[in-house]
Amino acid sequence: MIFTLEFMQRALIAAAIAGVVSPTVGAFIVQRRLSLLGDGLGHVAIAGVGLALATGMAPLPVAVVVAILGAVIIELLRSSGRASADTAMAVIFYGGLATGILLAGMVGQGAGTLSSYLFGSLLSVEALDIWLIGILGAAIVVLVFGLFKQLFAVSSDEDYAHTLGLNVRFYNLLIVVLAACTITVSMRTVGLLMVSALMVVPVAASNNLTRGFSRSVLVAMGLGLFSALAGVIGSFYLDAPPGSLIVVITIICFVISLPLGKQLLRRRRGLQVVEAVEPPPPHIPADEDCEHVHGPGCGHRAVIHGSHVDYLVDGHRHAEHEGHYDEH
Amino acid sequence: MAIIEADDINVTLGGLPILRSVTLSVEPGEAVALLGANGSGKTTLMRALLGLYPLSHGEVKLFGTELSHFRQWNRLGYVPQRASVKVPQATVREIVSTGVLSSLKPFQHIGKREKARIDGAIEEVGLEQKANQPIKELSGGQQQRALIARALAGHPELLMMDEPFAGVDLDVQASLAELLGKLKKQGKTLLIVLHELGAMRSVLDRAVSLRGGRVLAGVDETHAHHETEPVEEPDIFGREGLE
Ligand SMILES: Nc1ncnc2c1ncn2[C@@H]1O[C@H](COP(=O)(O)OP(=O)(O)O)[C@@H](O)[C@H]1O
Ligand SMILES: [Mg+2]
Repeated sequence: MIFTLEFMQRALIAAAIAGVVSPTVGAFIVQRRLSLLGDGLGHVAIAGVGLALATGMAPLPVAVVVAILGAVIIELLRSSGRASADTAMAVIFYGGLATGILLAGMVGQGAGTLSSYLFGSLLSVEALDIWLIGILGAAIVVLVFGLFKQLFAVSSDEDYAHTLGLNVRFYNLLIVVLAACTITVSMRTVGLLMVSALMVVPVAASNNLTRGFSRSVLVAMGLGLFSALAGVIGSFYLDAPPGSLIVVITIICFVISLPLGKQLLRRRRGLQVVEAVEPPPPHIPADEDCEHVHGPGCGHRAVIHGSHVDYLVDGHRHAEHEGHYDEH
Repeated sequence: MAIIEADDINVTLGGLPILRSVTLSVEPGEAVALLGANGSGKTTLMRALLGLYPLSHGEVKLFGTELSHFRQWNRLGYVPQRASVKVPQATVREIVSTGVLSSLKPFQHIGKREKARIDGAIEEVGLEQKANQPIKELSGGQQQRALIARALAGHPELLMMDEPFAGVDLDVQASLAELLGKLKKQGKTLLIVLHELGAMRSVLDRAVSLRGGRVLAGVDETHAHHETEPVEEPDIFGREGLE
């Protein structure tokens, strides 16, 4: 029985935490159209892992620090709105990936060790990792749900959030820092190259199935949990890296959600009453007391009315219509 | 003390002067319309008054406090021009709920009082049937009403609305105008960008007209609800700064 194997227990716990936590942060990442940012932060975290391998430190804590640092720099670049920000981000992302591989290679920890961080691994989750993953995961969940309304307000309408007195810059920064922490939570099971998928894909699937933002987050957490556990169990039997299987399962969920969502929508639509279409305004020709042709400087005030101009005559509005004037 | 006080403000956007020495003051309990042709700077003024655009000259005070020190955001409700909600699957209730956040601390839950305010606001704009529907499934006018409800949910003393009736059916406009009239009677202050006075005519105390980023002189004192004289509507000829 695989559940009695100690390494499998650890892998399942780590995967469950990653599966639940990733979509909570992912929901805001998707709203802010930052889906690829998670991927970039994963690359940055690889530099952290490389640094840890090169110096003999524990990879997870170093990866957290490096990923948070990268997140802050990226958010500052992004919010500066400069045209060069895009290029700068690409440099940081690929710089992170290259540095990580280089550092790991230099100390003879070649592709083998590093690949367990890139694609996830069942065997490598250590007891200490579980503690760190648990603490980080709990902190993320407390922050996301404690500040859920504020994060939602900032993600849905930044300008309006400002007029609520919310510190928009702080919440924007918080979202990317939370994303950085989520990445390190998921890196042991999903792997740094695909962590972003577990943040984004369950949310996308859930958006197809549910109505309402909070409900969508809850369903996405369920899908994330299911995919992560199923992926870990399946990879044990397939003897494959768990990350790839977890991501494939989330994508299967997404593909199924497409037709299923359409069907749900059709059922709901069918129950709704079709609203009556407003009839066009009645055609009322104006009195004949208006002998002249209206135009600039005709003495009557002009008023823009939708697509045309009305002229005010004794409190009535005259609109040109095929050679005569209508009341509007 | 004036509720809104803009003293000789200039706003520059993309290197162009958009507002030029605009001075405006709105007293407690007043209902003021902001009129002007498209591109005359109404939205820019509204956003500058809220600190959403930086001032290149002058000073804005809200409730007697200079904007950079202003913290009592729960005292005002803002309705932006055009629906700008970026979460299409969020429900009307979720959107309206954000309106009470100005009086909540981080980690504080939405309590009974806030819940009642949220439901009340949804009811006042007549969207109770749509409360649990995603905002993307609503018509433009209904989305606009949801944004009005969001501003009302915080029970603000000051309402700042940018073309709140755009796309809203005429009969709904009339009932919203009635609602705003009721709020004014309760002592609330209103600053409303309007394209035409329409149903709001009887609610308003006066109108301020903008043209080319300046306040039109003399128009400021016009009484909008004057019986016989037609109200100052924007003159489309000779307008400056088209969109
Ligand atoms: N972000 C911006 N950058 C540059 N110009 C802008 C910006 N926003 C508005 N403008 C210009 O400022 C002028 C006033 O715009 P706006 O305040 O939206 O007018 P209104 O609301 O009266 O229609 C317009 O000419 C518009 O093109
Ligand atoms: Mg405008």
